Order: sequence, then C-alpha cells, then structure tokens
Amino acid sequence: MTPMGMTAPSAQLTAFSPRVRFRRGVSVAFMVAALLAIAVSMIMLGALIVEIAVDGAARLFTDGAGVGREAGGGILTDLPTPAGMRWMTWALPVAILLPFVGPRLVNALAPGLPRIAERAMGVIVVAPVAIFVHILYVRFESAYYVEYARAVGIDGASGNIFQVLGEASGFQIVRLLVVGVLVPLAIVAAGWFGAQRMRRPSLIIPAIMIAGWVVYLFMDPWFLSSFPSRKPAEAGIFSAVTGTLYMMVITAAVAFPLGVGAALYLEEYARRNWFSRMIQVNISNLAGVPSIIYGLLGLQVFVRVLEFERSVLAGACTMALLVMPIIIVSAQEALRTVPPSMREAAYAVGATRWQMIRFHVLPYAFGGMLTGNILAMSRAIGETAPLIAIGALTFIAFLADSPTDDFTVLPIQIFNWVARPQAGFHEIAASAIIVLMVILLLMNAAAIIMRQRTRTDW
Amino acid sequence: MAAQAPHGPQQDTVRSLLAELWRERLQPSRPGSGRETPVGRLIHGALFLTATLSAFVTIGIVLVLIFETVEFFREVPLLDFFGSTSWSALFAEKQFGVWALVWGTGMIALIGLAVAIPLGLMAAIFLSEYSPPRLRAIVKPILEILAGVPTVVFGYFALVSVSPVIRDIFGEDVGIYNALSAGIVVGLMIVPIIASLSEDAMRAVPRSLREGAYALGSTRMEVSLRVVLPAAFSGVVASIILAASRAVGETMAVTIAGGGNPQFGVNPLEAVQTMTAMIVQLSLGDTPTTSIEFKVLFAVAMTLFVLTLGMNIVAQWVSRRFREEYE
Repeated sequence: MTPMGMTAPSAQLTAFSPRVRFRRGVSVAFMVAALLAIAVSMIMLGALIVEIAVDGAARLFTDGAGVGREAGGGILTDLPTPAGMRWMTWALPVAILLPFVGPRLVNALAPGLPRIAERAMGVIVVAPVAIFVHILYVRFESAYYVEYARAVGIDGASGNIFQVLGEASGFQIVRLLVVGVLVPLAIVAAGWFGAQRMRRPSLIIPAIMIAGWVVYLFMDPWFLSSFPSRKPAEAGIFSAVTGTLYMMVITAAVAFPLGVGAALYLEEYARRNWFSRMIQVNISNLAGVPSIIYGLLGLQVFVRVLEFERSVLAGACTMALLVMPIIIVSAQEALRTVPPSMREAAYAVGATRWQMIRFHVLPYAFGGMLTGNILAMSRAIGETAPLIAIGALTFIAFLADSPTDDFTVLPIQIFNWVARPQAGFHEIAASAIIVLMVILLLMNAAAIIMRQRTRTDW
Repeated sequence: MAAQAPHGPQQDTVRSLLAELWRERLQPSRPGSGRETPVGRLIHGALFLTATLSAFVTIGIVLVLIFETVEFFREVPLLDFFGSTSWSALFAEKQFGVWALVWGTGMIALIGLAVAIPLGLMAAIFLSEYSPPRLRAIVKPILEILAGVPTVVFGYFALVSVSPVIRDIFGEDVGIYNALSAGIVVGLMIVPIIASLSEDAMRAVPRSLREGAYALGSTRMEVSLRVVLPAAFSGVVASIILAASRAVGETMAVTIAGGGNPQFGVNPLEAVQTMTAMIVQLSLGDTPTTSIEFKVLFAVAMTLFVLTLGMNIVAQWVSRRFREEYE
C-alpha cells in the first residue's frame, strides 16, 4: 500500500535508461564472446580427437592377423604369437576383478570368519589367477626365445625355461622375475590383504581396466605385437610400447627418490636462507627450460661422458632430470598440507626429526607425492624432443634385453611415421597416437582417483 | 597431598634442567634445529645432496652449452652468426645466420600468441567471472587434458587437419608445411597455460573490489575489464610471457608442421624453420661430434636457452614487481 501523501514511483524512474540498456547488452554480448572462446578451444580439442580416432581406428581394429606372418621373413615380424597374447588377455579381467570382488564374496558367503581363515580364503580365490598369469608369461618368454634363436641361428632351442634363463641377460632375468614372479605374488598378496581390508573396495579401477580389456579384444593383435616395418600394413608398435614401459620404470625409479628427497630437504630441513631460496628459484627456472635442451645435456653427459651410449638408461636419466622439477614442486605441496601440529606432536613424544618425517609426515604426504609422480610420468611419456636429441633410434626390430640397449618409444615412433609422406604411415601414426592417448588418460585418471582417495582433510 | 614433593632446591634443579633442555634441543618447529641421531644426520646429508642436484643440473646445462658454443665460435666468427639472416648449415657452402631461425621461432610464437591470447584470456574471464561453479568444474579438467596432450600429437593434427583447411582457404599453391598451421596448433597448445594461470590471478582479486564496482552500477563486463583485469594484470602478463616462452621452446609440432626451410620472410603461408626444429633436424642426421654441424647445434641451443630463460625471469619479475597486494 502506498502511504498517504506519496505516489507510486513513475515508470520513468523504474525503467532503465537507453544507456544502461546498451551497457547491459554489451555485457551480454561479451559473455557470449567469452563462451565462444571456450567453445572454440573445446571444438578444436574435439576435432583433434575425432580426426585421430577416425584416422587411427581403421588400422587399430581391422583384424590384420596373418598379414604380418605371411609377409614375414624379417627377424621378428611374427612375434609374439598372437594366440598366446589372446590367451593372456582372457586371464586379465579375472586377474583384475578377483582381488576386488573375491573378498566381498568371502564376506558375503561366510561372514564372521576368523581373520586368518578370511585371508586364506582370499588367497585361495586369487591363487589360480596368479598361477595362470605366471604360466602364460613364462610360455610367452619361451616362445619369444625360440623365435629369437631361430632368427639368429642358434640350434636346438626348445624353449625350456632353464635354457632361456641360461641364455638370458641380466635385464631379461629381471623382466622374468618382475612379470613372471612378482606380479603373481602381488595378486596373491592382494588376496591376502584384500580379504581383510577391502570389504568395500572401489570398483572404479577394475571397471576401467576391464573396459580397456574389452576394447583390446576387438583390436588387431598384430598392431600391438609387431615391430616397425617398411610397409604400413605390417608395421606395429611392439618395440615402441615396451621401450616406453622400460623407460618409464627406470625414469620413475631415478626421478621419484631424488625429487622427493629434494622436496623433503627444502620443506623439512632447510632454513630460510639464501641457499634454499636459490634452490627454489632454480627449480622453477628449470621447469621452464625447453625440453630439447635437456636432450642436449643428456647427449653430452649421459651418452658421451658417462658412456651410456644411446640406450634406455641414457634416455631415462635425461627424462628423470626433465621431470624432476615437477616431482619436487608437487611433493613440496603435499608436504605443506601436513599441519605443523603433527610435527609438534611427534616431537612432543620424543621422536627424532627423521622419525617425525618417516612416521608422521610421509604417510600423510605420500599420496600427494605419488599423484605428482604419475603426472610427471604422463609428461615424460609424451616427450619426444629430448630423446631425439640423445639419438634414440626410430627403427627397432627387437626387444631391449638390457638397459644399455638401443631403444625407441611411442612418441618417436609416431614422429617417424608422421614425417613420412605416405598416407598409410599417417594412418598407423594415428593408431599409435590413440594407444598413447589412452595410456595418458588412464594415468591421469589414476592420479585423480589417487588424489581423491588419499586426501586427508585436516 | 602427601605424595607431592615439597617445594625446594630439588624442584628448582628439575625446572632449570627442563628449561635448559628446552633451549638446547626441544625447539623443533624452527626449521634447521631438532634432535638428530647419527643416522638422522646421514639422511639429512643425503637429502641435502638431492636438493643440490637441481643446482648441478643448471650448471651442467650452462657448461655443456658454453663449452661447445665456444668451440663453434673459434671456427665461425661472431658476426657470421649474429650478423646474417641466411642459414644453410647442411649445404656445402655453409651460412650460419641465426636470425633466420630466430625469426622463424618468433613468427610461430607470434601466430601462436595471436590465437592463444584472445582465446585464453576470454576463457579465463569467463571461468573466473561468469561461469557457474559446476560448469567450471567441467571446463577446467578439459583444459588440463588439452595441456597434457603430447606435442607430437599436435604436430600430427597440424599436418593432417589444420594444413589442408588452410590450403582450402588460401589456394593450392600454399605448401603442406607452413608457418600458419604450426602457429595455430602452438597457440592451441598454450591456451591452457594462459587460461589457467590468468584465471588463478583473477580469482585472487578480492570480492570487495568487484562488489564496490557493482554497487556503483557496473555491468559484469565493466567489472571484468576495468576492475578485475587491471587488478590481476601482473598475473595475466606473467602467464602470457610464460606461454610465449613455452611457444618458443616448443619442438615437435613445429618440426612436423613448420617445414624445414630457414628463411627471413614475413609470409606465414611459407615453410619456416625454428631453432628447435633445426636442432631436431641436425640430431636426426648422424653428425660426427667434431663437425661444425654438431657444434652449431649448441650455439643455437644456447641462443634458445638464453631467450627462454630471459622470458621466464621477466615473467617472475613482472608478477613480483607489479603485483597488487590486497589486505
């Protein structure tokens, strides 16, 4: 109700002036423009993904089985046997799912078992899978050895595992130990610990892995299990994928301890003086150095002075230096999230500084550190330039048998194929890019999941 | 209470001992002090070494570059390197005019920035000023994916997708390898850097500034452009310089899509060669380590290193010097 003596405000006053309306219009137009900017970036990303998917899917999913074998005659075009690879993949979903589902089953079927019985059940559930993986891998290694022996002309190679071990280099033995022994043992351990701890495990990780396995079933096994070739239809990325895996393992083994050590020193030990400031500034500057310059550093230091030659080891060391700033910075951030009161409490009960770090700071910061490590590895996996500078080869028709062997990695293989004029090579480059991007996506997904699961809210 | 000890000299001793202990050993929250065992000291030393490793990496880079660069300038006078604009390191008649390569690098970086600054800044303004939180939660990870795509993939994209489009627009006499397609994908590559760093800087501007402007009747655009952008200016400029430095150091996409033609022209539709692409080209060939081609590699790398380092230092200086402090 309008009070006595006052009239309602006139329409003139409540309506906006043309100038205000104009300004509002401009503002809306500006918002639309900003949205467009984002849309353009998204559309370009979408175009990139569609282009690569369309180009690459053909070679990745046409079943080219037999093509490589018929035309073979090269050393290893027909290795490893696709049948073996196929069988191996059938074991995978079971191996992935059982450690997660097994304990649930045990709990559902027989609740209230004593802990030891529960754990034993967990082991029994997963043991067949472990044995299966072990046998399949050893058979794969033997088959590989037999083919290799035939190619280089060693007589009487039967593929007996003791014969393989007798001929194997140190690196092959490590490979056999890790994939043939440690992985099965890890599956058993997952059953043992999982039975008790994972009563409500997250099914996200096995779900992603099994989805990947389903996709793999439709893929052309030859593309993943053939070596590069002069003919696009026969070329594959076996040596590139294994080279990438070897390099990643060594890079992580070198860079993670060094990076975490530096972060621990800077956060937990260093006084705030000119020295620690200099190191800090230096680290942020190192992060901005173009990657190809690390390649030249690696070429002079690792390839020439330390005489690693153009090997996996030289590449991995170069890559470790390249990603160390990333690992250091993310580890520092992880350490900073641990509140000072945790440290004070540890000191209060008489811990030494190392005990404080080892038992009170590291357990909380470790998840964040691992996340940073995965992100650093996903940077390293796509880097090409430094490896070209140290002279990684582009045509590798064998598996690296030791860390001092020549090697190639996925991005270098892609670069090599893209740089060729034939359209056929462009297509398989796109196929290799799909494989690389899927690996990257999985690593990033793992980092995100890990970040969420290990975050502690103080 | 009977059990309680009487006041006396004994308790004073305990008290002074405790005080002593506190002064000597138990001030752990101050970094650099705290109780350490011999093993602890060993660990302390080892961690110190890992921290100094980063300093040695820098020293190593500088030494490696300087050593071969000096060797190079023993054979080729400084004036031939910095005083000429034609480059032909792989021909019989060698010319080492580095400006051809610097110009190629600059051209690609400029095209990249021309693409990335509008896209990145607008995206940052949208995310920081307009976007509902839920949309931002979707868009930011996608931008991160864009930042994580390996550069060799961008190279493929430039060659197979962008370049044909450019040829459709400008006619068939444009080569497959051209500076424009390489520059566009380099721009796409650095959009996430500008967008995410600028957005951080804009979000750090306190609400009260925006609300003051709204209270005076400003529209959202006016707040974004006249209040938030100037307040976050140092961060925005630093993000652009960092992105430019990344564009200068970018290697694979420009090697694949830029073509291998060191030249000093202004036409972005022709093939160019950047410093990084030249390093890749020389590395792919099997150049003997005593040859002049091998040494010039390091002279070019030195130029590149100084350029990017300078840009990074300027970026840090800008973000420190021109930062608006609130509170």
